[in-house]
Amino acid sequence: MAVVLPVLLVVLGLALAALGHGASVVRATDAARAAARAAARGDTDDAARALAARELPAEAQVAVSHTGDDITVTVVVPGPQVVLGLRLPQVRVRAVSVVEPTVGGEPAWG
Amino acid sequence: MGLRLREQAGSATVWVLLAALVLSAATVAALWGSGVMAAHRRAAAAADLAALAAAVKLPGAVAVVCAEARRVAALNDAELADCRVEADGTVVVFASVRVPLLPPVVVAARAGHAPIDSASSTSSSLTAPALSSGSLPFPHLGDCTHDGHPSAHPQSAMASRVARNQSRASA
Repeated sequence: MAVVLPVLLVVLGLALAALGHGASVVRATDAARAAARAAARGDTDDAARALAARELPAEAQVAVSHTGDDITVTVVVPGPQVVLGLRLPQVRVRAVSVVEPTVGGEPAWG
Repeated sequence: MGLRLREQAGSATVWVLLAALVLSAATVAALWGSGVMAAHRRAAAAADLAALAAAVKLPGAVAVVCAEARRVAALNDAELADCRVEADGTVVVFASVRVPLLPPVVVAARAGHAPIDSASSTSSSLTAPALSSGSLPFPHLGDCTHDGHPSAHPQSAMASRVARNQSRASA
């Protein structure tokens, strides 16, 4: 009994962490997508990064990189905690968009 | 007396084991469910970004437009399930992501050039794609959290309103 209860608690923590992990993935995916879209239509990298960071917990990291016309937004969120000190693997999500053409030097829209 | 104590201890162990079993099953189900949910969001993002990228190539050959959609969908960790250039000059992209135990999650997105008043040919722009979920045989939160717009404000009306504003602003 004394051994089984902690195990039960760990399993419970694991179940809750798994749900939290899923929610993190969904949130990170949406944030990366929003940032990639913003960058594609002419927002600066900083503006796109701020847009994603607004939807994410403070400890999340957002990176924007350019390869030719491709824009890659990478979001890394620490994994949720299972029990003291033990964490699930970090959430790492990326979204890639393509720069939209501009009209007269101005962003086409936005 | 001793016998009864031992019986009770035994039954407690059975209950704990049962609880552990149920919790483990719940964990697996939660992992699977959140995996499906994540796959849906990933497919939606890939379809969205691929459609926007493909629309940049419009008007152009279907092969060129859809090759771009395939490339961007792959970069977003999804597969291009289908790609069509419609008669109205928009491109519809279907992106799919595999999930265990279910057919792949497929999400569609449409993008194209906004309908523009004849006078304002300077303001060419890409419309926001209307997201419509394909087949997701799973109870999802899409109906209340869907990033879209109510049917009372259809995509076409919003797009033309944006185009009108745009042309007025740039005039």
